[in-house]
Amino acid sequence: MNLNTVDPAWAWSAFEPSGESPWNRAAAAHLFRRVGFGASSRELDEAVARPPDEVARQLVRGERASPSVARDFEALADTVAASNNPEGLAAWWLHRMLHTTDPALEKFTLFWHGHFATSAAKVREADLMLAQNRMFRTRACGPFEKLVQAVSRDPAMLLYLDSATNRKVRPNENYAREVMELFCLGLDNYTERDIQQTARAFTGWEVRNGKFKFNAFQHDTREKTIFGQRGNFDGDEAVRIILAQPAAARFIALKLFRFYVCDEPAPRPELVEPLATMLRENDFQIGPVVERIAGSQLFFSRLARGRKVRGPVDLAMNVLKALETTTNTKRLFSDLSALGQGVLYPPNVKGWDGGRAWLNSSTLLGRANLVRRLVDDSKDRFAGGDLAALVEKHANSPTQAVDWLAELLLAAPIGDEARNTLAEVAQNKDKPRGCANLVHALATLPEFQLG
Amino acid sequence: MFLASPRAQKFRPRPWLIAALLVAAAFADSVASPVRADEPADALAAAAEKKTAAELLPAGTILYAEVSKPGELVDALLNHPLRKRIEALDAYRALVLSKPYLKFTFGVSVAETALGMKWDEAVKTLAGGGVHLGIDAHTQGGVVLIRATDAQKLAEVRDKLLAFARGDAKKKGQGDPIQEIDYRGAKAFKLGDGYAATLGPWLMLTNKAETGKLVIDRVADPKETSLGGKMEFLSARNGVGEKCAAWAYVDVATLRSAGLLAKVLQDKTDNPGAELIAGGVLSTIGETPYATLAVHLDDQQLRLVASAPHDPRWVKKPREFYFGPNGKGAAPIALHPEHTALSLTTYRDLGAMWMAAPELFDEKGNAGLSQADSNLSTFFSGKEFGREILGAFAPEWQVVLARQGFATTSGGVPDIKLPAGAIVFRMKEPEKMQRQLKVSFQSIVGFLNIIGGQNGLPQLEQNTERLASGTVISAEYMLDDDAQRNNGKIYHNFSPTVAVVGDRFIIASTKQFAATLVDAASTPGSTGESPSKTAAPTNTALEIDAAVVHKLLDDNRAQLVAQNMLEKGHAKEQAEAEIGTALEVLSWFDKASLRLATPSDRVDLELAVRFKPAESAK
Amino acid sequence: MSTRRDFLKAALGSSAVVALGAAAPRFLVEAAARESNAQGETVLVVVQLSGGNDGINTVVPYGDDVYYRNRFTLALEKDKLHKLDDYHGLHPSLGGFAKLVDERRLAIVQGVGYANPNRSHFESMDIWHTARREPQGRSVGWLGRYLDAAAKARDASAPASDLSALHLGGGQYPLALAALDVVAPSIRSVDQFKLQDGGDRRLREAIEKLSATARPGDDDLLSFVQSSTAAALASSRRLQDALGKYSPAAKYPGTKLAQSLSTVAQLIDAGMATRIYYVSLDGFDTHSEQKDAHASLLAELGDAVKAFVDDLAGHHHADRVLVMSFSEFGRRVRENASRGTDHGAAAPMFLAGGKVKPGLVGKHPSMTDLDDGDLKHHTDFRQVYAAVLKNWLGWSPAEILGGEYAPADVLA
Repeated sequence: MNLNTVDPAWAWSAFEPSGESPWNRAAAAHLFRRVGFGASSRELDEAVARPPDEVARQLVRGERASPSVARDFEALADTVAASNNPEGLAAWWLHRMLHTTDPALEKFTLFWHGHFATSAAKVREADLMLAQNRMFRTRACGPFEKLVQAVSRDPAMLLYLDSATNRKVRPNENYAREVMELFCLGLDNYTERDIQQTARAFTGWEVRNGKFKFNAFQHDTREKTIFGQRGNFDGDEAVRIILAQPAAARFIALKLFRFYVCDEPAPRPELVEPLATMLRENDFQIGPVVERIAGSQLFFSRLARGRKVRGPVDLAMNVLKALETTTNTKRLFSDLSALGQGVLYPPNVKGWDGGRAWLNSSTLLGRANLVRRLVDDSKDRFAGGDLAALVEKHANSPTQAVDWLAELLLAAPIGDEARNTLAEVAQNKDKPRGCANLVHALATLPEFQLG
Repeated sequence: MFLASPRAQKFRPRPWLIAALLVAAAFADSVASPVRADEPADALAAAAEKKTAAELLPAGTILYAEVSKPGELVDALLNHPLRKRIEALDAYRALVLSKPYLKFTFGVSVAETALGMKWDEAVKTLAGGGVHLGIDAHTQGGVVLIRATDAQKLAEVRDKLLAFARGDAKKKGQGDPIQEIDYRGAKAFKLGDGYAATLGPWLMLTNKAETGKLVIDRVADPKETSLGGKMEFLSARNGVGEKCAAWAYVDVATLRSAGLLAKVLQDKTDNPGAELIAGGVLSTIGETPYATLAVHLDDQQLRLVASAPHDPRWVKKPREFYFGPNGKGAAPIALHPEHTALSLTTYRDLGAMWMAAPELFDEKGNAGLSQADSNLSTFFSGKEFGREILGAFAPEWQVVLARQGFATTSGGVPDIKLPAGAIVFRMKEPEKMQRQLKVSFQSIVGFLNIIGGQNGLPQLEQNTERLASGTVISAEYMLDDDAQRNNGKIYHNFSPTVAVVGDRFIIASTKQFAATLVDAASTPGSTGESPSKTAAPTNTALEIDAAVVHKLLDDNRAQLVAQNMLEKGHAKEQAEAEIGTALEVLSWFDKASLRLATPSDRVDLELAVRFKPAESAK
Repeated sequence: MSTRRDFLKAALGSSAVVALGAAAPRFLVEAAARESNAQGETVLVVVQLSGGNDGINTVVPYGDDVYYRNRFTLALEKDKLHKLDDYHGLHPSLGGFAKLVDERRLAIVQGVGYANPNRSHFESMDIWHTARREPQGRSVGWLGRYLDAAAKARDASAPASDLSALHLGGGQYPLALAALDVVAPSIRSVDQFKLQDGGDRRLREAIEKLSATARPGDDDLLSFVQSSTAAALASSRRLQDALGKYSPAAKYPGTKLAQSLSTVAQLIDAGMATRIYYVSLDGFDTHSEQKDAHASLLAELGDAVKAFVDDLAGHHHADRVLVMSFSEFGRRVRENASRGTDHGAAAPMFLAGGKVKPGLVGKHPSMTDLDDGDLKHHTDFRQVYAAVLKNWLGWSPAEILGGEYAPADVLA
């Protein structure tokens, strides 16, 4: 079975545990990694005691989220944004990803941040980046149209794309182009004329003093023709017309597929089509599609598991969550930046490419070095204590320690030879060092890069 | 073994404990061992009895430190008012219950049982005559000399401990851990990498046999020169006086000739900041024979005084900016407005330093300055910044920081509340300079407006107000209706202002603070000349008011908690507790000061930290 | 040409190697590394002079009285110049460059600029970085465009290996390197290329063993990660070995630029496959009191590049490394009222290395036939880029530069 031959009907049908694909800790770890940022050993135990569809549903819907924890994060964000240092805000977001009670929502937010990439390197205002981040979170699971319309008014986005002024006499095509190419349709699904006409619909949409403002004097009120439809459209209507194109649902479904299912190979159109149909028939609601993906046969099959190169954020978060770590997220932000995924600082308007592009000789070593630093940092706490004590609680021998950690941290299985080598690494008179070395060695495994 | 069970961890004596026991074992030797009967040993003991520690140390001792009455210091610490407050901290209670602390107290009680007395009593008995440390340049070894008051007690303790150490080794199937060495009639013991010997009431510990021999030489042969016989040392000791908890002496001349100070005594530096702060003191270090450090501790304050002989002629011409001509420069009287958190007054001739830059700094330092020069002269209509601008101010000036209140300002309130700051100069020719400085201020504000405009900041509006006592030229941010978004922004901390009052020129971060300083400057008493230029001119004085700093930090508590959460990964409660403890500790302190003074033949650097009496502390 | 990447792929992907056991792949990787050292590809090192370098006081037209009339306080004394001929002389602080000229390792390309020069730092720097005169399409740099194109041409299944470009020394990330597909990182230190194993040899060996074993052949993604990891570890070991032993063949000054370049030299010598290195020197915006500041900047530049080229020559890399320096514009002919100079237009570029066409290239622009007080360019900077692309990086310039530019005659 491979992605080219898999039956779409089977792929998206509800996951049925089987001998080949049981509902166990490894399967639960996969679910938490993809939909959230990984899980602790206790969370896995708790998950496998319940049916998989319930676990997936509750996770995606954030049914177990605590509103008071969310409120605390918001208050903290305001305080952090006050120093107008977007890097501090990035550290806050990482802190939230790590400690949130609604991991799926943070994952959604990260997805949209990459999709509607906006970099603080250019925007520079922490409060605008925060406002955008909140907007992504609020609109993450809802209708995509509302999200695009909000993005079209988002000051950080408009500043980032130099669309802060868009005048009647000289429409700025930059935003209109990105809406088509990167946000809604993808290349080859529109004409230059569609872009020019859409740009006119967005004239008069401005940013003044960090706020969106509609400048009626600069809005082009004449008739526009977008994808064959004629009328005196404004930006919101333009977005609606764009999303009504057949390519729109396919484009978003494919992007979700790549994010939640696998990097490669590219799926056949008919495999993604059921998701696209679901979007079209469902008012472009995002949440239900992800819920379907996360509860599907395909998602739990070997065509999805370990079939993504993990991004630095996913990778670090998995380690931190699995080992119940508290750490300096400012430092973490700077390490993740060096690995190519500084949150709030995507490299360009395309966001992070992902896949094999994450890896090169510097980032591969950097990933292992990051994990080494986390386990060596004397200020880090693991389940409130030291790493060795945590490992000791779950494993009575080096081999058990290897298996316990591999289940938490690796999506792909490792061979016996690797297991033995790792057990030798764990075997150390200096117990804490043995544990740290073991986690470090795991982090250099090729399997560790996959999620 | 991997992942050993925690049960397997029984108490094992820590290495330091074993070392302490062995040391104590060595003590009693002079009393109980057969050596005691030895004639030369008796003579040696009698000779040693009469010597001070400094007389036992070789003349080449480069560092000497002494706690003359350890018993009193222990009492002072145990009975200190701060002790109760430390014990009242939640963090302290948590520490007391922690595993490492319990292990530590268990270790102490084991030692106390072995010694047969409480640890504080042991300090008084075994080290009642003082603890002294010497480091010898020649042999590169260190010696600790401890003088006991009760030799009899020592003997008993020693017997017990010697037996303990030897017994322990035997139990482990090891040989005698103590190796005995004879030298000039004295018996020394080698324990691991260290040596110990007893000389009358003295216990000597050293890490090098050669250094220990030098000490015994001084007992055996009265003709040997000693540290105690050096003029420099005697005058150092006189200078320090009797009443201090501890003091130290450093032979700077020897350190210098050994080349150990070469790095700080470079001819030219690349760091103008370091030169500004420490330049003159480096001249002292370059010539002075020695330096001392004295520690004073009582219920009210902790005071550290570093001191070194000094001669104004040691300071070369380019460095005259530091202590002033003939070393007579003195800091001005400080303006001390309400809510002052920090005040720095100093004598530092900035113009002279700027102009002497080619002699003071290396290529890199000068390159930095010449770039600054070229940038700055843009604001000063092409005037030479060093000579014509900095040189127009008198060398006595003050920097002051104060907590500011935001309730009264009509503008927004910043989320991060910074203190207001100002620098107060005196103009040499007020009439001539005033106009130039005002114009320069205008250009700087214009420049800030251009830069700020590009970055979406509101514009600064200039206003001139003539008060009874002076003129205030302020630049305040023009706030538009969009106050909601702008509230909380950090720029609400600032309204750059300059003020002229008499010959004073004030540059302040806020208009309010400038006005306060203008008032303070025009109240009688603040306009006098620099304080006493006679006895001990204070070159620089830094004063910090802990209560105001406490309030400043408390104003920003939410920020501190947030930082703590992100940097330590703490939960909110944990972060709040940690910040709370830090602020609580800060509230125990009253004022801290750092003072650099130049009495006729010395340079003194004094750090004083005053404790707040318990009842007035929060 | 067989590159190291091909070799690695052949070596690590083959199951015969696996059969030899864990030690074999490392041996092969090291052999590959040696090969890379022996027949390395050409390397470009860009030195950006930010702020607008005063070209007239860098390559001084001392044979022209107009120079002395316009530079009434800033004119440099004839006797102190490093004379190139009876008209041109290098700034007295450029002793390093003068020596490179003598050694035939420096090309001075005169009168470089572009039509309708923009005198804003940001605009002009963007133009140089993107090689685009109009603001459209300025999100990708000229080197970034090259990196994207070169990456596309590579075999996609080859293991991810050493970076194709690197920015060193901190500061603002150069737009020139911004690409759509390739990320050229900014590194603070070479530690980012080392596995932090704390000197634990047993751990290091275990780690190398763990990724040396090839993974099941049917998992293409995992095989890719495995071979990339093995290559990264080999590269790290090579670098650690090389850096430990590296002894520079020249004494570098203590300046920041020199330190960055010395790191570049070490990376090149360690056999990194990186082809483009990018460093910057700031502070050339000398509007007032220019004399001392400019002298010290030029000394930093000249001495650092001289040490770098000497070091490379000492390690036999001089012929495969090209240093190229540029600034966003030159400065006006006439000095201003604050003993400085204001933003101008055309200025010289410098190319250093073993394969440059040495000495002056092109004429000094006329000191009297000016464009609004500025020197007129006669060589478009894209002609220099074209030469570098075509004759050094081996790439067709037209697609990168968005037009046909005749390559300048700067390389031997």
